[in-house]
Amino acid sequence: MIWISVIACLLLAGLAAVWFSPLRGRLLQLFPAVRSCFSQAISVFDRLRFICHVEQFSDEAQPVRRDQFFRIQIAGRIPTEQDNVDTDVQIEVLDITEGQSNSHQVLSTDECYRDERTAEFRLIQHNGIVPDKNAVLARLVTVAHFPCHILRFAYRGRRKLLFCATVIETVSGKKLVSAQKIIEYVYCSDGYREVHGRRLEVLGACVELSALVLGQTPHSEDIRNMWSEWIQQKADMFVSADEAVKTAGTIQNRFAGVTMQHSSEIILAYGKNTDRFFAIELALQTAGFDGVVSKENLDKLFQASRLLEIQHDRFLSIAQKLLLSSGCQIEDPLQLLGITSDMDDDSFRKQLNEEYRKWNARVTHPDAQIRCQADQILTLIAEIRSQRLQSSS
Amino acid sequence: MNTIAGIDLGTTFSALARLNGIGRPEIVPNSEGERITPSAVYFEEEEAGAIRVGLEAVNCRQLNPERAVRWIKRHMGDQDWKKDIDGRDWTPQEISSLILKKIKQDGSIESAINDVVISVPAHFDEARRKATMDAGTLAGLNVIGIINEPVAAALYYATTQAVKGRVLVYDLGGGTFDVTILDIDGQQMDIICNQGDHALGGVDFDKKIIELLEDAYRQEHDAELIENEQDRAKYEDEAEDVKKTLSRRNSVRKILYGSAGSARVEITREQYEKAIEPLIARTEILIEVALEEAKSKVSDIQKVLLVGGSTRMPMVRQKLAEKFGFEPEVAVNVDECVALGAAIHAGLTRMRENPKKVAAGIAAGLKEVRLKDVCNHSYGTICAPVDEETGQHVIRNSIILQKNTPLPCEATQTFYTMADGQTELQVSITQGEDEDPDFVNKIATEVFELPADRPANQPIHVQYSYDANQRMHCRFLDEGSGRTLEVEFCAGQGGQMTKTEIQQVAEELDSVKVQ
Repeated sequence: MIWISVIACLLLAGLAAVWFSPLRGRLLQLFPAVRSCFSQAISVFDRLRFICHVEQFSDEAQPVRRDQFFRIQIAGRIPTEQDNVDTDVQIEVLDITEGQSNSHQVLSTDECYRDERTAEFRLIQHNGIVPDKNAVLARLVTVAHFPCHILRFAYRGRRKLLFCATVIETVSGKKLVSAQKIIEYVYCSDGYREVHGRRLEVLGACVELSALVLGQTPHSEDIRNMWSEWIQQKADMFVSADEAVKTAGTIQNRFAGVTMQHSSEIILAYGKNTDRFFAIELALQTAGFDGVVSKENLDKLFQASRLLEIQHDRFLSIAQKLLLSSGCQIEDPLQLLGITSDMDDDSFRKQLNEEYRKWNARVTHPDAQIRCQADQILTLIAEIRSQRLQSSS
Repeated sequence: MNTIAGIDLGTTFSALARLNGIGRPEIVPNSEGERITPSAVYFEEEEAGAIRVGLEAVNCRQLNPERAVRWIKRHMGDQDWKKDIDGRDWTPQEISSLILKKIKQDGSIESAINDVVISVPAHFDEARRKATMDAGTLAGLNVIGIINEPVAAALYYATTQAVKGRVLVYDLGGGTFDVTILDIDGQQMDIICNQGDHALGGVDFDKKIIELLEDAYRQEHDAELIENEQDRAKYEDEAEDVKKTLSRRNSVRKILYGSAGSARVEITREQYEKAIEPLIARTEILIEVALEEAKSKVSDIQKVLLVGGSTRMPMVRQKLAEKFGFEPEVAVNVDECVALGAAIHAGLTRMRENPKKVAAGIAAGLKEVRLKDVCNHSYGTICAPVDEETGQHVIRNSIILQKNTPLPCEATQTFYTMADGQTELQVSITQGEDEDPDFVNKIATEVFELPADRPANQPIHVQYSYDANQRMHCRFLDEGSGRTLEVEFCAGQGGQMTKTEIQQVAEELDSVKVQ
């Protein structure tokens, strides 16, 4: 302790001696040079650091529609274990408006920019060969650009986005270096979380309706798979495969107590106008899944079409296309040909003639399956007619 | 000068007619002295390269049905149908060309037959018409035109009888059924509408007879009558005989020989008529559809003209008499009138194209005949209008030229581009009556280049015209830039075989000898 105090006193005395001596001016002159050397050393280090830069720009080359684009650039050292390593750049985006720990996925509407299963935005671009293991990109280099409108965010409004650019080895997929950049972006549409809930509810109701048309539980694995695929297909990128399977799976549990009226009301209230037709198409596909449509199923299909407020003629043409053209065996084809029990002979004849005219024009179709089906339906129409007219005469 | 001739290339029988010196058509008998030739082909097994056509082919068929072809007309235009004979795939056009070759060969004894008109069912589409013309070309004929069978029959009828008024032609042949309504005033004929069924004819009635024979045998022996193709060929021929007999008598007795032994059966006309009731119902429906299309009532029809061998069935005549309240007309030979009418049409076509090449006698005989035809099908294009119910764009077939429009005709519709900066438009020409594009035939598809950098909704005028020679002209006009795309084709153009292919196959078939 004593020695420390002595050394400190000696150091202070030495500094005081220098300060009050003529050497002071020279030392002060040297100081900026030292500082400049120090900052130069820092800048060399900065240039070696791998960085990512993100900016928005509009494509002036498009005079009609000037889309906004994101441009991703990188610079700095890409450390590799050897020379001439082929690399890719992977771009990821995260919505961190509500904080990094509470981040949301950013989805893409474009198949080229998304993960097939989760619909999450993901972009991997080829970056080229890094020639030297000490190679440094001295300037910012654009590695990717994509339209802003393909991105879907969780919620509407001003979003804080974290872009992450990672250089990876093409062959092994090993991550070499990565950098992040945070930018702000204003999203003007409904967020997918907002849309998502409503959409799943509507699609679930469509599946419910189909289940009710089929009218039997438990439904086969094949039918549930068909429903899952259908949900995923109709929900676009908002619903993942897992969610689709889950939604289709819950139909079994929801089956009791649900009515066709209830399901239809949800579709009409929350669905798009086209969802009514999607719902009836799914119901028809479900009813004809086993290749046989019973009279009871057909009655329910007609009931469903009425609940979905689909015009009779429109429903008939959809049903004929999906059931008759697919070769389904229909227990009561009269209904599907637009014949009702209260029709008099004249209306009956007119309706059958109309159907005959329609199917007769299809018997010369280039597709052999359509030709064959049209032929069978013409035979069916002729049989129905001769039976009915014989019995009435 | 070449002989002007018409050929009825039928499903079961074919016939050749030519114009005589005064422009009257007459049937040319075949080498066996028959006025009609069975449309059957048999590829000889023992004598390589020998092909029998006609009655001999029918007789040989029972021995080896695998090497025989009948009712080939049912497969015309079907790209998937092939007959494999000794490793060579024969297409429907090629097989039909063998029949035509035999007809040409037999008819050319007096004078060479080259320029012909071939008849087709009225409802045949472009592909089938083209296949028929190709068959003629492959047979070494110069096909100057094609004519709808009922129109040909009416043409002959009007030129040989004094007729005035609305006529319904009921053409029930060996494999197809057509109904045509037309107005006749002397030798002036205006076609109103056509309807047809490609798979309804004598062959289908024969099938019903076979079913009756099979049922009877099953009842007797609890065994199947037909066990192989040879049996089938044999009973198909027997069924044809039974059908013909039942047109004259009330019942037919037959001894059937099957694997379980023989059976003596009797088929009554009543049984037969009950069995064919749904087939006759199909003809009745088509008559009603044709009347609706012609905006006519039953009472507007003044005459019903019977054409085709199947109209000999008493049930057909009885049903027509019940429906129209008078007996149908049998003034012309139902087997020959189509070929005779086709020969008249050939003369008219020759006179229209090059009157100097038509002999004076023929020209004088035909100068009064006037025929006004209609579009046999509707023609349209694929577009994407906004669906009123859903508000979404939907792909639709929009009909531009309606079926049964009198020729020559022309119609225009305007469509709009869909996207900003759209530089291409895929234009499709369709044939068919459906709104749903899945159910129509695309007979031509082209790409129309448009100027760049323009907003959506640019008007495109689509004009279709169809002349009396059945030449169709399609014009797509971009109003903004004045650019046009023109597509022109004749009935029977396009289709499966290119000109080069036809030439190659024709050269190959030239060496084939038919007997």
